[in-house]
This record gives sequence, C-alpha cells and structure tokens, in this order.
Amino acid sequence: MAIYRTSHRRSVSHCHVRPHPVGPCDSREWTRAERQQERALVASLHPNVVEVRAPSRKYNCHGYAFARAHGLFEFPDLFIVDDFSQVPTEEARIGDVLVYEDEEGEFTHSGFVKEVIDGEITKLRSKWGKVAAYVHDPLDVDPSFGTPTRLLRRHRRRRTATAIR
Amino acid sequence: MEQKSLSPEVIHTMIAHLADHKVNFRIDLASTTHVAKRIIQSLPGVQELRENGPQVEQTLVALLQNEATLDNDNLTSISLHILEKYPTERVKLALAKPIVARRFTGFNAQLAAEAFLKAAGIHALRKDAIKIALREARKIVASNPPKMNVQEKQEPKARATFHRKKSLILKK
Repeated sequence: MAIYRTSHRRSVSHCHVRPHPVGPCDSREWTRAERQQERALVASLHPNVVEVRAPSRKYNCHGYAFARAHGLFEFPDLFIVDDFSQVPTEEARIGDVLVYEDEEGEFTHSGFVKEVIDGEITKLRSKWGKVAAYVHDPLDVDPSFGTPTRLLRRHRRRRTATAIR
Repeated sequence: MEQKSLSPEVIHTMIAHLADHKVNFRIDLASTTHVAKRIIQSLPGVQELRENGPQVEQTLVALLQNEATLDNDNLTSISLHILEKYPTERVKLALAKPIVARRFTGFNAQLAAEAFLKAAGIHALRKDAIKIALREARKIVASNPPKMNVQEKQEPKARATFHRKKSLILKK
C-alpha cells in the first residue's frame, strides 16, 4: 500500500479497492449497471445536484478533498492540521475546502468551494461516499453529513501532501 | 417503559424492507464508517430492531450465516449495526468465523469487528478494531474446530476395522 504523507511528513492511514482489501475498503469497483442504479437513486433524492465524476468506491470525500482522489481516508485530521489553515467563511475563495461535522465533532464530509457569491458559498464540489462527485448547494446533502463548520485553505509555501510508492 | 416484543413475522417483514436497495442505498452516501452508522440508524425500523430483544438477534445471526446476505453489503451493514446492540456469546461465535475468513469487506469489516469485540468484552480503539478482532476471532475459531458430521465420524472407524482385518490375515 502506498504511503500518503502530509506536508509535515506524517503518514495518513488509508486504503484502496482490491480483491483482498484492508478495511474499510471494498473488494471491487461498481459494475456499470450498479453505477447507473446509484445515479438514479441519488437523482431521486437530490434532483438539483450535477454529477462531475462517476460513482466510484475507490475514494471518498476526504480522499477527494485532501489527497487528489488517492484512496479512502477515514480520518482527515492530520491533513487539516498540517496542510491547511482555517479561514472565516465570509472570506471563502474557489478551491478552499469546506468541512462538515456532526454533533459529536466527527468530520463527516468535505468538499471544494466551487462558487462564492457576495461572500457566501453557493456551490460546492464534493464526492459523496461511494457514489459520484457532485456540484451542489452546500446544504443539499444527506442529513447524516452534519453541518458545514469550518473553511480551510491549503498552505501555499509548504510542500504539499504526497503519495510515496 | 418496556417495549413489546415483535413477532418473528414482523421482524422478517422489517428486515425484508431494509434489504430493499431503494431503502438502504443511502448507506452508499457515507464516506466513513461513522457516517454509515448514522445513516443506518436513521433507516426505518433500525432503532426498534436494536431495542427489541433476543428474537431479533437470533434472526440476524441466522441471516448472516447465509452467503446471499453477505453478498448484499448494505443488508450486512444493517445487520451488523443492529447486532452491535446485542453483545452475546452467540453473536461472538457467529461473527468469529466470517471475520477469520475475511468475508466482511468495506465498512462491514469495521462494523463486524466492533460488534464482535463488544460481544467478546474486548475494548479497542476504533482504528485498531479490525486488527484486534481478527486476532481474537482466530483464537476462537482455533479452539472451536468445525464439528464433524456423522458420516465423517464413522469413516475413520471403518478404515481401522479394515486395517485390523488385513493385519490378522497377514499373521496367518
């Protein structure tokens, strides 16, 4: 398994889809028929979202937002601490990362800011679990995703997170 | 207030409803095991099944012995999340073998590990649960080898009889 490090060289545990996966990854990718089924079911609940990447089990929202869709990451804490700074939401810029938390303070979801109008984040681009990546209203998500709590901006001067094979 | 026990028929109906992908597909929206649990908990009937009693546990343990159930990832996730609420010897023994055989993948690897460890009375950090559950489940499987059926039990005896007859003939 590749090692994924933060800009401070700290290793972040993650996994990949493969026949004998390390948990919590799956043993195979979706079939074409399964992808279509997932698309239809999401469309029935969230008709206003726009798919930008196909459904995939290979990476999750944190993998997409923090590690260039490298794999499935359960705990993005080290990325947040090492590679990002928190900024006020009213100063949002395209490309910032919006993080969601639940009432227990767990990181439940993350995505890139896609559109800002008059200081308000109006569109986000994020990967939804094992289904597709969508452009969507920040509040047009499953209730289990919790609420957007912090806006992060990636450090520019430091070395960025890298995969080492 | 004590909850009225559900009948086996009602339990089966509720599980059949939860097995429908149109009902359980929201689990696929979860990015992490923690979020998967939140979604499962919000599905219709899950809370009731988690609080109902041994009949639910028995039904779900039997369901997880079925390969078809294990092939349905989301139904397996739901079953494991409900069984986590029933930390019994039966759950521990039922989960040990498929954990050792690595039959649980995806979020189910974590859910099975957590349900198994709770049933075994073992505390572990969430990030270590899969590794520790595998180690402990191996001990259980090794100390409880699969029972032989009647035919298997009789076969070695028949062979012994044959060898004895042969040796008797040689002595002559």
